[in-house]
Amino acid sequence: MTPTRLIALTFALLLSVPALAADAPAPAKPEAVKPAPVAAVATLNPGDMAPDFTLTDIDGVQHSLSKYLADGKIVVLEWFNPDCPFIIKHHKLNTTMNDTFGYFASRGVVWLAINSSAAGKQGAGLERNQAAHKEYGMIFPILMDESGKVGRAYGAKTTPHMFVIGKDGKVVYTGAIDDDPSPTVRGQRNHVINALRAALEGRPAPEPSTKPYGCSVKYAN
Amino acid sequence: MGATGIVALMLLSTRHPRVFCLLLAALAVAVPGCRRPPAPGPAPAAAAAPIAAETPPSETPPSETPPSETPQVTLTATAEPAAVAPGGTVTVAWRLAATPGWHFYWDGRNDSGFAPRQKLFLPAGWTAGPLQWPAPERLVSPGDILDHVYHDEVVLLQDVTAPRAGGAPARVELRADWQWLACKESCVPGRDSLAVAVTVDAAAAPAPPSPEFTAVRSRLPRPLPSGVVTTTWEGATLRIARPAGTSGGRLTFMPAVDCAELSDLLNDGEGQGLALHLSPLAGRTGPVRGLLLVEDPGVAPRAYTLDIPGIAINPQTTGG
Repeated sequence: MTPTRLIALTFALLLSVPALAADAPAPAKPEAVKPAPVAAVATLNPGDMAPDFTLTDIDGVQHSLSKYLADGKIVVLEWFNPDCPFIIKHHKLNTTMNDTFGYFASRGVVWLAINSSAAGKQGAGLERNQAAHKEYGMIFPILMDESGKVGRAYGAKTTPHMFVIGKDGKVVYTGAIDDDPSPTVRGQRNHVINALRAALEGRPAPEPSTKPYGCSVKYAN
Repeated sequence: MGATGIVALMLLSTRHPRVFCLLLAALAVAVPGCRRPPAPGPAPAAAAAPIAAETPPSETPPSETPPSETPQVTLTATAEPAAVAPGGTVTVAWRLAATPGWHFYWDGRNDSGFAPRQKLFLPAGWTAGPLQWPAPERLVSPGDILDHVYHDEVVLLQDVTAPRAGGAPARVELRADWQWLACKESCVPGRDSLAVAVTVDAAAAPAPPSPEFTAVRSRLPRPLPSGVVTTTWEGATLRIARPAGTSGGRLTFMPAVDCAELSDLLNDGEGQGLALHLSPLAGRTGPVRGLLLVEDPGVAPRAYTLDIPGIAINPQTTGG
């Protein structure tokens, strides 16, 4: 463990204390900690305000949507599960996601992969995601959403399920990355490129909503 | 805040060993039995602020993610009849079978997955009809994810017609590349190429279908006869009900890809009577296309194709 990492870890743990303290079981009533009730699954449509979130990535860094929006960024969310064939299609068989982000990275666009796999389900866990991040050479962070709360708030159904959020915090695109739902073949039309181009030019996305495809997000039962 | 935090972490860590270990790691304390994460970072669920904070940290260390299972999937094909006269039609049964417990996807509307995809290679002059898909089953996964699937296996029938002009008896190959996705909880893609041989012979005699093909055909959806259900529009809602006097079993609607968008298929798609809520667009709603599965006690489930044309609707009545 490098000193920098150690400091970052300690700091992150201390930062997280208020949230933990609120949930820590009182000694007299240890059964007080219960899993959060399963939230209703939202459906997010173009034009809707994107729900704010703060999640920690695989290096312990916190990312909050509202902060990126305050900085004037356009934010792309990619629902992610390192072991889903459709993620492998776009991160290993092809480099769709890196290529797409690479094209826009210097133009005020932030790209966040979010993993909502519940503990014990496919693609869950810090170690697996750290390894996949390295293996796929990902140029953007993986945020861990093990509780599935952010995934459910967005109505994320598949990996990948893409959301593009405009500077005003409204969803400008939701759906598939491209137009071929096969687990191996890359599509001809990249919907996120089209949505980002439009957003940067102040136009509405040519197709604000498409049907996402991929594996089901591996939420807790 | 720091001291309170440490106490809170200690309290929590008594129930969650991983937090305890992380805490010790953070304090640079090495304890046997606490395996240090190779690239340290806080436990994601524990460190995330408000939105993830209500869920206790995982009891399962990340290294215990189960190894991905791989299903055994076999693709087979048979053609009936095995010999046809020029201009005659054979039916090919393409069968995908997986290790029990795995499923394949229907080619209608699903939230996830991928229906088997075929690329057909026919000899010159041959033509093929569409793949005929049997009725699938609904599968709801955590997160309100609704799919329509075939458990363990699926057989897709396809009519293939020989050219009219024919010479000496000839043996031809009907070849197809297949790509599929088999899922249990995790998904594994697969692909294979397969040919089935058919003889074209002017002397071929018509042959009755085998019991196997008859059984597969009996499970294909049929056009909806009158009298099975009534369908009525109420604004943008399509009501599907059993006619008065019919003992009501269960109805299941499964939308085809070209069905109009349904606002709550998860809840609307199954019941003794259905109310399918649609989202009107530009003063119109529908069409409603897909399969209607009718299950009555003591009778084998029957699958019908449903094709209800779209209608113009009064904007005042779209609330339904």
